Amino acid sequence: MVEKTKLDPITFEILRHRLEEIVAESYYTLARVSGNAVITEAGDHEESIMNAMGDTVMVGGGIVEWTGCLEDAARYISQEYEDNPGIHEGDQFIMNDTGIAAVHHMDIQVLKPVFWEGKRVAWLNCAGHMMDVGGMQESGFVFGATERIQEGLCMKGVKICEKGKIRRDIEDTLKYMTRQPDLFMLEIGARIAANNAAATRLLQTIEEFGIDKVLAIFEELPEYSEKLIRAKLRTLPDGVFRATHHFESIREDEGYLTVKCALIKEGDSITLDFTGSSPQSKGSQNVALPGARSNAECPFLMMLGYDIPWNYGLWGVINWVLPEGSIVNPSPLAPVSTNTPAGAGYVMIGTVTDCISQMYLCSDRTEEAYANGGNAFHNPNMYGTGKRGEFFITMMMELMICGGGALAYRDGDNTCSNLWTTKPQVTNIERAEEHFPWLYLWRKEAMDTGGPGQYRGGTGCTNAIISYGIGEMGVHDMGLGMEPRLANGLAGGYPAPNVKQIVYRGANLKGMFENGQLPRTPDDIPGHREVKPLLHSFTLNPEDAYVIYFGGGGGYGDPLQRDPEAVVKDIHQEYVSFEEAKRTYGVIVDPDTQQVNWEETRNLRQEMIQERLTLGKRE
Amino acid sequence: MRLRIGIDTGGTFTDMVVIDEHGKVTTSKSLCTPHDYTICVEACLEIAAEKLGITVEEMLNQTVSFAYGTTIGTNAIATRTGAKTGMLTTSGCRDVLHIARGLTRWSGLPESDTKHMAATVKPEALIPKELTREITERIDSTGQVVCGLDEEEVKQACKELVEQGVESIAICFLWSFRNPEHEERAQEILTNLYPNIYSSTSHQVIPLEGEYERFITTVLDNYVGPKTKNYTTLLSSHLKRMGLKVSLLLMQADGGIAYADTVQPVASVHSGPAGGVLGAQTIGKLLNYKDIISTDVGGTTFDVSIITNHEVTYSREPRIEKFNTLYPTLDIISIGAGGGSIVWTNPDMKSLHVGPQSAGSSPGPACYGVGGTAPTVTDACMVLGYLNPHSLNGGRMRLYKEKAHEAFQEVADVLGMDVVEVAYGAYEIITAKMSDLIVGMTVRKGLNISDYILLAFGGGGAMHVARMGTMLGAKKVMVPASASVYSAMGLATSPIVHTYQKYDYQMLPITADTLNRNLGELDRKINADFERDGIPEKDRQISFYADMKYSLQINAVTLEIPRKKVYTEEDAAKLADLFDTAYAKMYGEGSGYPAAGRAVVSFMAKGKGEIYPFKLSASVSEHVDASQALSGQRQAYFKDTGFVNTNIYSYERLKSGNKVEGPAIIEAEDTTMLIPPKFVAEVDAYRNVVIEALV
Repeated sequence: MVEKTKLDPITFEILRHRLEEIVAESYYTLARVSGNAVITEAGDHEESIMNAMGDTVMVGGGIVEWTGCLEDAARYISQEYEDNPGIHEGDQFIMNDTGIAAVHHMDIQVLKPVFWEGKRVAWLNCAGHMMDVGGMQESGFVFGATERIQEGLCMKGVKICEKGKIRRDIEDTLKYMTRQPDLFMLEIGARIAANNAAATRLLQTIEEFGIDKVLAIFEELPEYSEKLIRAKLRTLPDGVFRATHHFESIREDEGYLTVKCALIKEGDSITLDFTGSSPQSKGSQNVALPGARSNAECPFLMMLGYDIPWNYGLWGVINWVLPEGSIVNPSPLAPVSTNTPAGAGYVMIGTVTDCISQMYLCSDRTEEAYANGGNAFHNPNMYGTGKRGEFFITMMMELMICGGGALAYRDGDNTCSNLWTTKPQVTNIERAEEHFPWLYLWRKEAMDTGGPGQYRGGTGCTNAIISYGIGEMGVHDMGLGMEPRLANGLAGGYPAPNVKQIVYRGANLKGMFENGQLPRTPDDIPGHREVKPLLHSFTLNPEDAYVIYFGGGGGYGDPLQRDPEAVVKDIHQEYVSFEEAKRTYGVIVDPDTQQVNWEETRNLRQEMIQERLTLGKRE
Repeated sequence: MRLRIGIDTGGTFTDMVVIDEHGKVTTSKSLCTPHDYTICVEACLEIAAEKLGITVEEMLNQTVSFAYGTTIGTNAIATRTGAKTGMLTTSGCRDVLHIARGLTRWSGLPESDTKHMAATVKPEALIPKELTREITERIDSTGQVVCGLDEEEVKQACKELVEQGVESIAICFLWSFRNPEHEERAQEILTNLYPNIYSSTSHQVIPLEGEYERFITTVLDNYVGPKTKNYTTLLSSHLKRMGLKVSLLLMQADGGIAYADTVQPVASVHSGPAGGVLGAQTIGKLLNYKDIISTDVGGTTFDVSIITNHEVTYSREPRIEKFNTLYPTLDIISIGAGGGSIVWTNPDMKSLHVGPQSAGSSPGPACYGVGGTAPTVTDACMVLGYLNPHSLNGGRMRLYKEKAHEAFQEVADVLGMDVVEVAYGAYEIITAKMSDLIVGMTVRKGLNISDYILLAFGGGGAMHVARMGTMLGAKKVMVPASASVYSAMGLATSPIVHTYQKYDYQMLPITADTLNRNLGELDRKINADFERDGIPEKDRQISFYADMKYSLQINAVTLEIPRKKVYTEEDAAKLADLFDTAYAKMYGEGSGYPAAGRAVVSFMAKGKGEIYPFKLSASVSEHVDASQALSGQRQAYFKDTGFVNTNIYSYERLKSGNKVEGPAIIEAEDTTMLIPPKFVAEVDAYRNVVIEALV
């Protein structure tokens, strides 16, 4: 029997750090060379190293909700295509099948097998969002889909690179099937470059330390992560923690849909049980099994696994109950394209966040808990004729900078958070205006958008734009939390207010501009006001204006227990209005002195508590 | 006798270097006096003059170049004690600094910290909303005026802000770098009304796209402007009174010096580390090393910068604290790894880790005996016999070897290893982390490490650099003479630098006219500056650059364009090939997509003007034998040999030409150099110690 190499703690630590660096290499290469603002400016991508079988050994930050999917892709190709078409040195594979390994099919993964002395020793995966993947609707989010096949490009691990060169037949096919062929291929090139950069460093590492040690770290690192997470779970209280979130269906005949989560924690085991979630939807908000697991793992990684290397050893401890035929595990034919960010996929993230926060609140580590934030938002996908006459499609990335959920000891952060990425950021107004045919009227922090609580949820932002190109512009809006609220509060905190978007038809602002006027609030904008629902498509004419409220974060604790001085400070910073201060926080602020009227505040709060006692009914 | 003076204010010490026209170097050092920095500057001048045997007045009288590096701006930002600053901005943009693109919660944090969302906090904006005024005005991406400037609103806003007590007002409008008309007019209105209020505009501070980064850079300029200007004016007049005939030069973060009255205050922020890089560049020129990796191991951080073909590189994403800025800044990457990095273990996992937490200088490493009990990298070096077991800093600081042992004992017990094994492990881990950083930086620039010489600055660097060189495959490493005053040396030897940038987004092919117009404009600006500086044309060296990308890409690559007086259409046509080649070198063959088209985003010109040519005096090489410097022996631990009897040399007594074979340790006043077995160190003509592997 061959003795397996066991790493000493020093080599282990050096190699662990090296793998982290290799993944970072890949992350930064893609961010540098990509042509997609969603990747370069909003960080919508993720990279990983996997072992020869495809199990993740190390994954880099970025869009955390894909983490689980990266290895599903490598495992599938390893299992299915070993003999035909074969996996060889110099190959790279393209994958975006939601049934196998993608949250939604816009997330295009390129995988590269790494060989040492003729033998496959690792996989690298570089994945990022693509703005168009063909199909029935620009953007890949297909509102009207009733079958998955309508949703566009589906690559099941096709060999796109052979002997280091892109295959012409595949390139031509991809270009034919997508609406921005040149950008699509530039993006594929960027992923190939990222994988090559990581492969070079991985091979140097093997040369430096020997293949035995590198294979040993591939095995020991997941074991290490598993031990750490199990140890951490043992320090947290046992129990069943539940969350139920509702959201509007894209289908008018379905009403509201539900994701129901129970986190069952016992000793060092953890189960995520989604029994009770809605049955499979007729529309595209279902999430297929790989995406369901990957989304639900996202808060697990960020809240429980932040100090543990991310790999299959870490998330491998989760036991899953995802009922077949439900919205979180539908049939292979069911449409799924809007599950993320406007369907069951994202809603799962919120439910698991709620469950983990409750578990922390029952422990002595309450500082780790936070309310939901960033799961109620608008996400307009804009398309049409670009500034230079070309077809363009892009996303308004303000959903990345929602308000953060409040914590048990402080307010949520304003305009910089969401639950599915570690590095949220939004593109500059000037960058957007340089590339896309619109003009901003404002991008501001929006008053009264943070969920009230003893600690307030972070404020969301609001944008207003007009079309500023050579023709009309189309909008496919994605989003959540317009009717049932979704950025839930914690421990008695209120959810963030509903999101909204309004089109002002015939506002004709160019006339105003010429008169030396610029609107600063929606009240300044003339025209016919149309409130647009979520998951809706519409056009924006050159004379229209479009105002959007992105989401805030949920509050923590009872707003009547908020320090009135903090409410006054919020009024000064325009985070809270006088009306809201009175209505929800029970704080009366003198408009002249801008100070708390303590007596009236005490009285009002007493009244509000009395009123609460008359509401509801105890059987 | 013509003298050049460089003075650098650091965190703890102010360092000074004087070079005379024969190249003789005199140094002095004095503790910083943060309440009034002119005091420590004066103290340095007095010590140096005494060493030269002349009066301060005589010394300053003969000075032809006096360059100063200040931390005034950096400190004002760190302690949030800058000017009370107001801001005028485009209607709709009031919250640009507050939203901060969502970046400030995590920007600049180590990767591992960004994952822990519950622990990351967005810092407060530098200007509160009540000091920000929105102005009715709008320009679009092509520079067209969409809505004219409301001048009454500007007047009213200025009045209100001044009444609220602001000392400076940043003027930050969208697209001002495309059309500066509105910013210029607003500033004119402000200056007419309130001539004493400091103010800079965003197009003037940095005329590049990206409102958040441009605005915050401008706001930082206004935040540090009044303090920096006041202090440099004070110091200038002080020095003049003391006998200085020439104008004061200031160090800038872009790695050049310039006359203080022409320096944009924000440029002086984070200029300190740039001095060290300039020092490295100077050595490179002197000894003809064109490719250098400059490293600096301090107490808490490890800083790296790269010089290629004698040229420094600029950061593509310069950052001041958690603020991403746009000001041209030398590319210096820093990680939390230094002498104070704490060695720790997870008892359940029996794993060993080093950093990123640091014991800093307080409580400091255990062996300092000032209260630290956690084992650190410095303690590891003590256990391994690298550090003098009794004292540091030429005997000024006592050390306690037994405390280092005690600190490691606990970790060793958990791991079931012995203390020395763990200490060596910690040394290896931290050195590997440092090496990993360097590899990342070189790979990202498409560079080959084996072409580079590795330089070690900072108190701790010389203990790691030979081992790092082995890990990296670098052929040669070097510990420069008086490594600790190298920033001041960089200042004393640096040319005057002026950098200008111009945004002009154009798809290729561009015409010769585009090149001539843009580069011509930048060239004229730089020459006008040099004219004012009194630098004759023959001593100016101007280079041109363009930021280019494949048109669908977001980020650009900086490309040097050979400088010409007049470009032809043929030159303009060559840009495409030039870009493709440079791109492929950085990201690999086939990673670009020329079919998408190529674009130029912006142009840059950088001018260097030599004030007076300088040289350092080289000593005559003496004998190879270093035995006159041998000061003793102690046991030191190395990877393949374990503990061996190791010769200790005194750097002060080493002479040019001396060779020291490893294993050996060279003790200098402010650093300890480790020469591992199978390495040899040689003292060169400038007293630098060059360490090479024996083949």
